[in-house]
Amino acid sequence: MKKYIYILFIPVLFSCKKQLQEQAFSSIPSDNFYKTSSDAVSALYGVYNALNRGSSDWDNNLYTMVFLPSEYVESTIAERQLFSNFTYGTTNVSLTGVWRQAYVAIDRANGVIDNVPIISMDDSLKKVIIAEAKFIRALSYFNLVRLYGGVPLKISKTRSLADAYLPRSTANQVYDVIISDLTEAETNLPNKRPASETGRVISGAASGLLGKVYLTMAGNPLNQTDKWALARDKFKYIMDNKARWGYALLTNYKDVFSLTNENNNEIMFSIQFSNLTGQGNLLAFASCPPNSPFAMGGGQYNYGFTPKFYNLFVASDTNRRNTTMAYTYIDRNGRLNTYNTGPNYNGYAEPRGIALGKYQDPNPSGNTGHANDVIVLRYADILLMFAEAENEVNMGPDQAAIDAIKQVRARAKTTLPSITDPNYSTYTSFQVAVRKERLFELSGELTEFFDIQRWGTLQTTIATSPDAIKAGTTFDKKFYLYPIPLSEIDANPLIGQQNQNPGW
Amino acid sequence: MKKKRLLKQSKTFLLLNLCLLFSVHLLSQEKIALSGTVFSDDNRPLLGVSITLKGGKKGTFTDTTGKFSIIVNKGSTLVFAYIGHKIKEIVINNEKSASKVLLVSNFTDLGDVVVIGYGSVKKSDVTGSVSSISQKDLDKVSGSTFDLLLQGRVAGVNVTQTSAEPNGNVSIRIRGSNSISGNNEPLYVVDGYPLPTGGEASGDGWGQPSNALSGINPNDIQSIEVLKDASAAAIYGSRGANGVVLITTKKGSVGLVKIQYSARVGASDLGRPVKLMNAREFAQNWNDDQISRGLNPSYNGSSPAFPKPDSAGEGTNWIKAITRTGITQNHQLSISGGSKEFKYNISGSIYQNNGIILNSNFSRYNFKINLDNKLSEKLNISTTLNYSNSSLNGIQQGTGAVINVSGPIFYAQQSSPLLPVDAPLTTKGNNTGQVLFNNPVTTVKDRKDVTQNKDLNATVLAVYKISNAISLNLRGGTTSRNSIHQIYYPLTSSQGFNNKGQAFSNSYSSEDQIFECFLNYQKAINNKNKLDLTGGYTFQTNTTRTQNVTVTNFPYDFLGFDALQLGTSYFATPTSKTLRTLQSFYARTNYTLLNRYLFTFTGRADGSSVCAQNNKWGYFPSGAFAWKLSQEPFFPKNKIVNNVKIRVSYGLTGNQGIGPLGSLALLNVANYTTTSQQISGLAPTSLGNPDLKWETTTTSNLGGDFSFFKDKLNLTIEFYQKTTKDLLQSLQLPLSSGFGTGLANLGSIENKGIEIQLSGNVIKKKKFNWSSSFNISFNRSKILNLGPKTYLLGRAAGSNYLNSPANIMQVGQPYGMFYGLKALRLIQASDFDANKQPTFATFNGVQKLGQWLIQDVDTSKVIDDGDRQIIGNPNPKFTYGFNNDFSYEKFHLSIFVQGVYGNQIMNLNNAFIRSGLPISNQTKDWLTNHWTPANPTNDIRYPSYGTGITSLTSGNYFLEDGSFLRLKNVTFSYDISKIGKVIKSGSVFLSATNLITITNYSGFDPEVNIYGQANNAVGIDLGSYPRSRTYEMGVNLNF
Repeated sequence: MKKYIYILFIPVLFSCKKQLQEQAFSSIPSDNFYKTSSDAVSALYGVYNALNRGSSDWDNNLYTMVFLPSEYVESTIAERQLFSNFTYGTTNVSLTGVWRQAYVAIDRANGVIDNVPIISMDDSLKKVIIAEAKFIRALSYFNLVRLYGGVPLKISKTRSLADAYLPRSTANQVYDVIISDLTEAETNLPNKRPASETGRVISGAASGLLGKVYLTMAGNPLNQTDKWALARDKFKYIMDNKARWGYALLTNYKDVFSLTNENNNEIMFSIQFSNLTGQGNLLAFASCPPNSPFAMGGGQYNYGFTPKFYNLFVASDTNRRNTTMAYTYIDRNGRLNTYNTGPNYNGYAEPRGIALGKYQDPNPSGNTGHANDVIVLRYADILLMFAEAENEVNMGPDQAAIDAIKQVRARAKTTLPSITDPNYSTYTSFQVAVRKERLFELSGELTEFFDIQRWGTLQTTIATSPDAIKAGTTFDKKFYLYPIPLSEIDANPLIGQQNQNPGW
Repeated sequence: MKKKRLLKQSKTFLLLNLCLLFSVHLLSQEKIALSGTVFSDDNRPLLGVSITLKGGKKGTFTDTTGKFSIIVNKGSTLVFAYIGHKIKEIVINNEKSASKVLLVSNFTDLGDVVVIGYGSVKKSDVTGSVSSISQKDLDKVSGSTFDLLLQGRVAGVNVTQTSAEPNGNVSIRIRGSNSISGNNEPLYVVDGYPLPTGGEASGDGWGQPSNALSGINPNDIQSIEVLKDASAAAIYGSRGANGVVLITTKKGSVGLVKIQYSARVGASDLGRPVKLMNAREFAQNWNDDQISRGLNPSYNGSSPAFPKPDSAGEGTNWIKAITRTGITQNHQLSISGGSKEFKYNISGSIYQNNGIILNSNFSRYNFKINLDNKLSEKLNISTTLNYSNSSLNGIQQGTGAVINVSGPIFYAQQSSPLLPVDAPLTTKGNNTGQVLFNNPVTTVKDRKDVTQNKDLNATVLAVYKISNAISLNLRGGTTSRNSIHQIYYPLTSSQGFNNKGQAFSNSYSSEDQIFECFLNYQKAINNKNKLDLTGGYTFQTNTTRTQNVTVTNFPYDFLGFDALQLGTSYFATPTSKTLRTLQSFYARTNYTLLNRYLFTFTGRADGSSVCAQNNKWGYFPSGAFAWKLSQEPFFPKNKIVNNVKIRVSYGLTGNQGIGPLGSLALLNVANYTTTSQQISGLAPTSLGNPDLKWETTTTSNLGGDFSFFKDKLNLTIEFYQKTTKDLLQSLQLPLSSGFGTGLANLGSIENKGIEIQLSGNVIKKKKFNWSSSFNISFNRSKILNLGPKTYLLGRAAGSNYLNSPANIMQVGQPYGMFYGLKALRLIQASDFDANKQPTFATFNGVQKLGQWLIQDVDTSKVIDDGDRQIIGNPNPKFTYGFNNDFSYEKFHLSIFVQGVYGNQIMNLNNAFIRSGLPISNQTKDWLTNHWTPANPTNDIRYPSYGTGITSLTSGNYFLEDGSFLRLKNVTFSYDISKIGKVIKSGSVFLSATNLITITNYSGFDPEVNIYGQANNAVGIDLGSYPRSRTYEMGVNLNF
């Protein structure tokens, strides 16, 4: 009898605590990560990944929010039209998508910023990696603060359910973090990258973005006019030292956007896409004209420019006009299609405007497999922002401002301005000219709504936007900011309906 | 000695028989040369009855005619034993003492012993809520999988075959649903082995998984027990909250070799077709719609594709075109028998089911061995081996998706009858609004979708009797599944056309190991008090692996998924491996006091790897008390009530809701790119929760067992109340956290109900028998708390088209209520004011006559998401089953009726075929009844043309009554006595399944859910596989 009792001890052999320790095989537990410099690099690419993946935000939802609310853009696709006619609601998928993806990037950046300092590795590499994460955090907050105003300011990694809740901060508090991140980034980032690191941020991009941040703060709604000079100085610093980073305007405007010429000298920062599996986007698919050879299946063509915008270009500016807009194109059947709003249009399936032509990929790997990089900042923008800031600082144009705008127009091979030209001679006329120049040069590059916002010209936009007129939308100050997505308010007790942006 | 025994085992049982005969000793006492015949109570001679001398080893068996002879001492006692019959003892006084022996069948007593976890008890001693189904009931039911055997048979168990496809998915809810995010299906325990949660290789995201338990052959099952309350299920601790289904397979029994062959062959057809418009009606309706919108009618005879309605004729009946007469067949051969030392049961079977939709079929091969070796008086070893190999040729059905990827049944309902059966993909002028025409016939014929599962279960159980009171049990076993799911979309399908051929080849494997060690202690104290203790330890691990391969761009179609290398575009191949470990200690005490007060205490401690760091162990105690009132001295002797037992129980059980890795913070692939290559990156994918734990269900149960008229009528009534707390929820986090959701334990839910089970022998005469059983169960659920939110919306019904959730979990409401817009009636001319302006809230100002008039809940004057409300209930008010068995001499008739009452179904097919949308063919009843100026009906089922955007939102206009009463099975059989020298006995039968279904439901069948076992999308029908009506004939033969 007694000897059988020993059998009861069999369990003890099996029952050690280790058996219940959960093992992960196909993914990596966070606890075991951040040990080596290669872990730090992997985590950093994970932060970049938040820019090119997610629910197609930079190439899709952000386009909806920034490109469509313009008097020169229209759409008949319901989900896009909500933005060209200002009828979106607080549960809109684009609003929610951009919000979510920005915070995914921020949380991943916070992971790098929190954890990389404790890894024992080369200090200079450490500094660069942290600076890159800070650049992406700043870029994400810059989008958030412009689109939604003051937002929850997360500056450390979310590690538990309790960490998940934060109230809104003020726009100024958000800008403080953006400025400090970008200042650190421009100091610590390298000026050049080896070919293997193409697409990763360099110090010039941080300086350029910082200039744009100052420019934005100087405009509506913060109107911190002391920032004009800070902005101007940053742009001048880049222009004076452009050789350090190799920045230059390309000779041919069309080449800036060519798929075979990505990361060219004019590009300061762009989000990298390729047609490798899971690394493409749908920008060309959403923007190219129907049955064109420029996108998967010929382009879905969700939105386009109004004929009014097409006619705004002067005759000598056909280069930029024809690159920006696919007014005519040869379709896959070899037929010439011309944009026509009439009932018997040929090829253009319905009048969704004149298709955007800057992003073309004839060999995509699928609907979301187009390889076009999304340009965040390029040198021509720096020149135009310099001209704009210089005019504001001096309350009128000077030769430097004229020269900057001249460079951009010369490359476009269009009529060159001079200080004696009435269109470029006074503060106001120069302001009008430089604003128009931004439209001609930068349309379709995620600038439209941001420009309208800081210029404070939304009332005109809504009054003249054909889609807004059709929908009967009248101007309301609330449209200067998008509403905080309802899902955030629903899930976050620290943000109530009373904290929603005014009017929403 | 040992050698001798082993030798014996290897011999056949005839030899054994002889051995026993020759070992008869001649003793000095007076000998009687006895001979006789053994009959069953229905007068059939019984073969292989074991006859032994009481207290001795001597014995014999009856021969094929039931005859036996033996020499015994006068005055000795012979024991007659035969499976399924009561043991009989006869004292031998002379040669005639046993000339005709009648063994009484103990079918009613078979349930006498009830299997419970880690042991068994006499039925009369059960304290918890346990229902059982005996072999007698199981034998009558035809079903491809064992879970269907349960349907309608047990009170409190609601079985829904969510897909009627061959081997379609089945959902079982025992006493309602306890969990919102976790699993609600019961734990299955086969011969003591708790099976891991079923899984199989994934498809391409469209369509339901097939039945995960298909590896178990229903013909191999001896009995099924369902443990319903906490007292019964607590022995399975963290896996017991949804109830436990114990399956006992057939074992060998002492007797001569018994060879059984059974076969059934059947034909099936579409039980309840949905009647759609023909070509003439379709063309006329299309024209009428266009005229109503001020357009010129298309069907005007201008081209052969657009004939005038009158010359369009009948056209194609697409439903008919994709259906056929299904053929099922099932063959089983089993050999069983054994001696006291060695018993065996070996069976093999083939099951084939060619479904009523073209190209849908299922086949399964089963092989099973059960061996019992009594190695010594103390040691018994049982070995079980079960192998199953099944293959399903599926069609896409009930996917919930509409555009491009819907199944053929959806297309068949929708497609224009004007198109010919062979209309190609590129057909212009198809009515679907899509550029490509998904021909339903081509869709079923050309698309290949094969799931192959191989299941192996091997278990060894050693029982060692340490003493008369204590036995030690050691069980070791393994269960493994290998599953491959392959799909190929050819160029003739739109999916294949867009991807130039698309192949999926996905695999899944699961390996499960168990080691158990438990002791049973039984002690009777002065014949009136009894103590029964069980306690032990279990260690179980489960490893799963998956790999999913997708390839597109095929130069040729005909090799499909068997030649993936032909495709030129490869996608990343996700692989995964998970490991789940469970360690448990458990104990149960049954104490019987004075033969009438019964106490049970059960407890289990489960330690699990999937639980979070701070909550690895969960504890699940329970207690029960039963009182055999009728045993009390004061209980009046009477002729009516002969047995009364009252049972109460209370306890905790858990739910295995957490998946592996659920509590961990993890990083996964997040690559970046340069123009030419990917750069590997990693990023957090889950937040983790170090406090995650089991959902815990507290159950109270009150039951009563009553027998009347000397056990002729038996009644069981149970009342229960369950509260599940710490509901596992995927909590919506503020997106500003960087995460969308986090797993947390939040909220609670309640289920309470009543179950009544009534059975009895209505008539029991010598020649004529009528026995009957009826059960009915009522369950009411209520969501008590959901943490920070007051409601959770379900998944979007109709995943890419009807993009709104149809179900809601709301505090204070029952589980999974239907949610959506509510149409009050149809818009009539009187709803517009003098200026022709609507006086009701509209979507976008363009509501027209005859369309749905939606209730403006938030009085915003605009119909939008804010006007959604609770509109219906997918939970039945009650479910029931009613079985009747009649027998007259050798004829038997069994009639089984089953049904549910009071539930609703969201029939999303109606969004297309009963909404007037010209994009789809319409039903005939819509055509006759729909709103027109001449027929200003207010029936929301029959709106006018083009209901507009409303049809995209779930609403009461798609709800239908899902109640049904089904004549589930009718079987008529005839017993064959001996035929020639080979066939000793048997039966032939005719059987019909799903013969008649009485329901108001307009779709194919009200027993449906396209989202299978999903918790957040209940009672939804869209393009589901139609249920068939099956007629079978078969034989059972004993050799």
